Amino acid sequence: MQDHSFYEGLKKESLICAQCGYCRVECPVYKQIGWESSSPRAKMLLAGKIADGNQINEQEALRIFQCTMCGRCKEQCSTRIDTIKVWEDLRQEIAEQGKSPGNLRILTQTIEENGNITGDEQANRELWIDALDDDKYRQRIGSRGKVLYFTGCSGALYPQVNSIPRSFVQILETAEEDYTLLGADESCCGFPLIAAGQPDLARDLMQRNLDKIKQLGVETIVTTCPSCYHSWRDTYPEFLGADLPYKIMHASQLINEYIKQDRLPLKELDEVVTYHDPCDLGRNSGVYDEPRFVIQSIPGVDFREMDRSRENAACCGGGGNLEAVDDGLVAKIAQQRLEEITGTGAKTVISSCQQCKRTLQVNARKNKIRVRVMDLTEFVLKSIKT
Amino acid sequence: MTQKYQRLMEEFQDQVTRDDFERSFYTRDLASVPPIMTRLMFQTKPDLVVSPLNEECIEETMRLAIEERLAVIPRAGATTAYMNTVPADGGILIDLNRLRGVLDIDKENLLAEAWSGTPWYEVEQTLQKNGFSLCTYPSSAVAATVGGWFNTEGYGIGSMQYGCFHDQVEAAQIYLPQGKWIDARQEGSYPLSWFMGKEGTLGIVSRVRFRIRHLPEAEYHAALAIDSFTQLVSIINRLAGQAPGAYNVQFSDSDCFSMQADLGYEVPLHDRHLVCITYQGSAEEIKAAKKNVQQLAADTGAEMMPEQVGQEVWDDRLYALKIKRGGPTLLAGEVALSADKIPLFYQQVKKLNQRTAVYGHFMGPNKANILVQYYADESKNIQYLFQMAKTKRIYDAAISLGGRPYGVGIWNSVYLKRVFPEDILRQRKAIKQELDPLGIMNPGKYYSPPALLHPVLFGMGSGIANGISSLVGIGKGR
Ligand SMILES: Cc1cc2nc3c(=O)[nH]c(=O)nc-3n(C[C@H](O)[C@H](O)[C@H](O)COP(=O)(O)OP(=O)(O)OC[C@H]3O[C@@H](n4cnc5c(N)ncnc54)[C@H](O)[C@@H]3O)c2cc1C
Ligand code: SF4
Ligand code: SF4
Repeated sequence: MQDHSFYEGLKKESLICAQCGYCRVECPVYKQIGWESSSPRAKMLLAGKIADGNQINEQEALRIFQCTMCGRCKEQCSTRIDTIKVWEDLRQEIAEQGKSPGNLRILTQTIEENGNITGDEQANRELWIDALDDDKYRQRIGSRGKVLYFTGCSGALYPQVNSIPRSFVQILETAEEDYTLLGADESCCGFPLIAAGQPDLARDLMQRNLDKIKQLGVETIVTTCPSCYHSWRDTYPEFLGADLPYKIMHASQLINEYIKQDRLPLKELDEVVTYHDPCDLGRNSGVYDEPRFVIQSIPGVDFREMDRSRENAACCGGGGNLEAVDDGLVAKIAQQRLEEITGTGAKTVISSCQQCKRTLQVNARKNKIRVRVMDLTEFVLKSIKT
Repeated sequence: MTQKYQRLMEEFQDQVTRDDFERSFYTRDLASVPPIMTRLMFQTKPDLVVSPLNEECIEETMRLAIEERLAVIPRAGATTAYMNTVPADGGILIDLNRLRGVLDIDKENLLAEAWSGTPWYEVEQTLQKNGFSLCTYPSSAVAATVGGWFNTEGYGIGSMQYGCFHDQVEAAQIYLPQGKWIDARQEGSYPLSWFMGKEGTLGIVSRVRFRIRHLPEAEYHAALAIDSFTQLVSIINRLAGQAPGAYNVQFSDSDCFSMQADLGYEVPLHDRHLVCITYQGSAEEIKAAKKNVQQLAADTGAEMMPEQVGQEVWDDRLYALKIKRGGPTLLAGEVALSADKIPLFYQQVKKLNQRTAVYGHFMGPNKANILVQYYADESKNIQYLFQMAKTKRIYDAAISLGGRPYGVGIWNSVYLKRVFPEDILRQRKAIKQELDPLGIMNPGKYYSPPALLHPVLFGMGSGIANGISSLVGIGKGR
């Protein structure tokens, strides 16, 4: 199948939709809710309605936003509709009609006012570094460097996943990388605003981030967050109308390079693990192999693949701002993925995304499921430090 | 709301809805029919939707329907296009998609049992994990369900070797509109043949048990380019007697590829047709098949295409709709026809004054199921009505050659009297009368056309539309 987007606008795509339902069978939202209205093909019918200039009601708007933007429907679509693009445009139309769910309006306002998703002061983006207890990390902020590590809001501001940037900078140090950090100068990458139907506000943030990078001598931008990666790699050039003068990498790719260059002293870990593909890294960006190469490079690891993996991987429930719209639904989707994870016999699930880690960890604890959830960076650091 | 409705809703809370918003998504199927047509003739919105998670819910819903004499419309993947899954006059719609999963694999006797709402691809994945495979599946396997194919014609991928899915069914659990469960078997007081292919007009199927096979060791997809469908007939005639037998034979005409090429897809051919023959079996059998195909190509004047072409056509076998993007609407007529009539049928189809993509599967060595697809634009109302009328010419062509429409529902019920002998139609109606004396199961479908679709009126309407279309060019296709 050709993988370029055929997207021709809401009206045309809604007419092209065959209502065949191929998109529906693996949609994590439809699988939980069960009514036809929650299926992607129902969203396509609503797209037609909106494209015809109709106002939509709250119930309809909710169904549009009950979506993790996991891309499973796009992968399955029999007429090659770029459903993710459709969902983005639909969200924008709904936002313009002032019908977005209340929590998303709050999220939008928070990002607009603070430059991040939590509403923290931007200075708090540097707090995660303090626990490292070595000034060399702090000195990287604003320094010149070939590689910019773009931390992302979640990694920097959610204490629960601060261990991800902490692990990654230690890996960068071990590999003797010439890297830099933006610290408080970093703003949200814009991704949550696109999912909230606010592409113009997202564009402003993109420009703000680019302005801050200009003077740092950066050649490569690396992220631990798959959504930041996807934004920087695909959405920034699309929105700003020009290719970026930077190579964009995800942490899993850079770590894989380090391993090939023998820059990381990996030691044996006697663990049974599985890997959960984050939707924005796997299906939506096509990065499947590198995280697996990295895990399998660690001596002693017993790697078990889940039945649904790579392009068929099920979503953890944490994407598309769904948490802000319907956290009960997130929990149900996560529960299903956790059952698949434990079904492999793995004691540890590794992902490459702070949102997947948060979602799976919170729900594993809530449901007393005995599985350790680790980010790839944490797992690699553990092997280095063993 | 009556007390009985209320009771059902209380007992099966999240499996029942009367919400207007929820019900509004069950008013159509694959076919885009102008509201002016449906509103005039039907009440397509169900009064209640039930999405059972278990058999108890089916039973209670059916009891309510029987007591209140309400119509019951079974709906699964809704990958059909003849309004089979849409209410003709309100009623209770039973959405079977949540009855999903493989229940049993009997490895010794090569049988599997699945909930009726399980999509075929999911059954196949589960079987493959255990070293088994389906004998046949529809080319809509991503979304079509076990119960859906049981209730429709049952031919598809693999039918060249294994025939109809209905022949592979060993048993089915069905709730009858008389108010009881039955375990239908090939033989017995409720033979499976009464129910299979009857489009949900005789009961709700909850579980189906069917034959499976060991996962083949190897497979091979041969792609042969041909210049005419007479060559296709020669190929299929030669294949009929050969060992090893072909698992699947499908064909696409040159317009299938030109439509794809227009959309920017890479295509293997531009001005010829393609036959793809799939063999599945032991490594030895595949070796023999490869040799046979070489000879077959030489004997019939077909050109062997690189192996990769066969593989790509096979990989695309569930994606016939990918050309729809060029429409945006894709109208279609699907027929069953004996193999030797394909060339004549093709000639007639190509006189439609419309580019048509013709694509088919063999249902066995001498019968094919042919899908004729053409572009239209439903956003242009009047023109669209004229374009729709052309499907009648496709069916007329097939019927004149001894073929018939594939599937009935509402829209094709107008052809029943032309394609089935009177005694068969009478027999079907008698079984319906016996099993569903209240006439509540999927009413308005399968047995006879609704009054406004009377065959004479329909024939006149379509004829006039086609006449005007060829005279003044309205609805003239691309
Ligand atoms: C791309 C594409 C390819 C296709 N290829 C084929 C093919 O190769 N072969 C083929 O035969 N058809 C094919 N079809 C048509 C259709 O997909 C099949 O008929 C399929 O089996 C329908 O399954 P479904 O689950 O979608 O059933 P639905 O469309 O939901 O229902 C079909 C009929 O069965 C009834 N029904 C469904 N489930 C039950 C149940 N559990 N109990 C009682 N009644 C029930 C419904 O009332 C309806 O009358 C194709 C369609 C598409 C879009
Ligand atoms: S993106 Fe994922 S959650 Fe959203 S409609 Fe598609 S399959 Fe469902
Ligand atoms: S798979 Fe694509 S064409 Fe089919 S219903 Fe879904 S969005 Fe529409």
